[in-house]
Amino acid sequence: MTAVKHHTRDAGPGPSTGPGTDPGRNQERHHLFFGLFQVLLLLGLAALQAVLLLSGAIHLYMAPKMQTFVIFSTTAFVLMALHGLWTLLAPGAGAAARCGCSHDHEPSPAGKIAMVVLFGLVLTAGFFLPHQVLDSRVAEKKGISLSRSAAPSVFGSSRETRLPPEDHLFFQEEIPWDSAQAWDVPSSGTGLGEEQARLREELGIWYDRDLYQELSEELLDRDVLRITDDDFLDSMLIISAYLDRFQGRRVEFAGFVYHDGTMAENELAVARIAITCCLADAMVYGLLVHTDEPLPSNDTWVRVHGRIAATRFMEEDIPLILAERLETIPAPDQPYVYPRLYSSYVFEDGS
Amino acid sequence: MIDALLHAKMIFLSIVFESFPFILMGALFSSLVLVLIPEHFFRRWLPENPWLSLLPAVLLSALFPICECAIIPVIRSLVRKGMPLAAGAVFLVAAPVLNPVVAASTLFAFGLNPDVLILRLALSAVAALLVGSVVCLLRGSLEKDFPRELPMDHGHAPKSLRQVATWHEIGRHTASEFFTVGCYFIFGALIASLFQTFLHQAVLLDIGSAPWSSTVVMMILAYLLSLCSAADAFVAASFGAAFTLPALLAFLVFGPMLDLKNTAMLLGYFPARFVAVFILSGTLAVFLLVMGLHFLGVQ
Repeated sequence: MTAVKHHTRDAGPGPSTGPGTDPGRNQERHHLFFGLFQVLLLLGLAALQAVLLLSGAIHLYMAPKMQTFVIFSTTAFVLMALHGLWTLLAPGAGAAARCGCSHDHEPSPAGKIAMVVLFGLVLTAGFFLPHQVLDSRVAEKKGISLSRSAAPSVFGSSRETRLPPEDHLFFQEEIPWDSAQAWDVPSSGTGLGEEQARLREELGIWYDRDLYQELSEELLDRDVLRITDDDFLDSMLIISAYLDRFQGRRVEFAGFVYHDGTMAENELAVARIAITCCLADAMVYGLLVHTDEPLPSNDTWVRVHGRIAATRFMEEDIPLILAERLETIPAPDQPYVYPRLYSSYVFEDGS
Repeated sequence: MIDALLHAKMIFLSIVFESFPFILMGALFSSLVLVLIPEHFFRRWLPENPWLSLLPAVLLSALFPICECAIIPVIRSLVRKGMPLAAGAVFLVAAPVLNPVVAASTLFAFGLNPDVLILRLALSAVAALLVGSVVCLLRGSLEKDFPRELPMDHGHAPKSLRQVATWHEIGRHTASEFFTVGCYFIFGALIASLFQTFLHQAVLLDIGSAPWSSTVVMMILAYLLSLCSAADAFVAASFGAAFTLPALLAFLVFGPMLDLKNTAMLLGYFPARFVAVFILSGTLAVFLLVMGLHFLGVQ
């Protein structure tokens, strides 16, 4: 970035000494200064985004799918800066581009100050403040989903009763957790039965023939379900949906610890943050874990080794993992997980 | 506290980086409209009566694959070229929702269940028509505020893309649009990131249990969170259990139309009176439509 700065500064004084009357010349100089300032802002934005892209830190800011757009905007910033320089420096080009509508381009003095402050804020925050990974603070503010399943249908073709709702949020103000309701392993599912059967039927309409069915068969075939980062959300969905079939199975997965006042003293959620586009849409998904060990503090990364059980929460059966061991691990390089968009199912399913 | 501010900074930059590409596309598109569409184009081709432009505007907004960050400068350019303001209002409501990316993400966020998607599209279209109608009724006073005279309008023939000067002009317009809309946008993103970091959502969600209060809560939440319309369905889906479907639809229809960041942009681009009418009629339209769904027994 510094090299480019020098370039623009060196190039600066050239054309401002063009012909013109005194007030016109003043205006011309002012115009040039403002134009160069915009060029610098554009180059600064391009440099900032390029640094994030090249260092890989961009993944701390958005989902991989959106990163292509950042390459586009970085390129656009460079092109706009070059064009800005060209119109400022090439004789004639500037006048042609202005075409008598220059006052439409120049913001008021207040507008210029706002531009300096706001774009300056982006550049300063981007270049000088450290990156931070979102953590259990998100769960504190937004709640945590402890189960994933399909949404109920309103135009309910053949069903009279509503299915259990999509996810549920787990907030401090809600019903306190009653761990006495947790079932023992292995449970063939008294109480689990009817709703689960219904839910599976509902899922079947959409999922049975494709990815979910395959993935669930694959998961059922394995001795131990080792849930990877990529599979975290899908596995959570499948375990929630086919909860009775997974009863008692061994499972291994990693996430950060989240515990709040609503959970029993021997229970915690082991969670991941899901990002759809940008961090504003961050959501926390976690599995409830029961452990006899002392609870690690929030935001500690752990690998859970345990067995799948179920418990009932807000009239819904949700997975409960009975941990045999909690292994503390270093925070992963890729802290977030990404919900698949519809298109990726369509394409991957076809292949 | 420092941690919380860094958290806010991450969300702030994330919103900014993610939206820049779309703001750039909007700025480019709006410049193309300004430079290439001949003066009084719409006067010549659209029916005299602005009421007749409302329905075509809804249909056309489905063809514009453009999200809420990009749409505002584009609509201003179109209105400056003589498109009825009411049609512009219809676009502002409908275009961010009626597009394929939003449809796909809504469909998937709700487990491929098409009901939510169908209701979302239908409500947005109806809300757009309602807002457009209000603007149409008040057009006498609203259109007066709107400057249609552009310095470059005086008698220039439509530009040819073969001339270098045309491209220079497009380039300059794009840059200036980007900086103007960017200022408002960055300001909106800053406020939104603070709400994202410090707002305890449970406080809001606890208020909303009755049909009307849950609708209001979801609209407030959509406004404060300022999500982009391609991602908001996933967030709505995560509220699933706590809220009825109409309340979720309030979130999904209201958010793309109005939120913190695009209010800032609207105020920068449209006369205050139009923005006030737009916000009031949009809010009321979504609220009444969602209450209508409650009334019809949709849960």
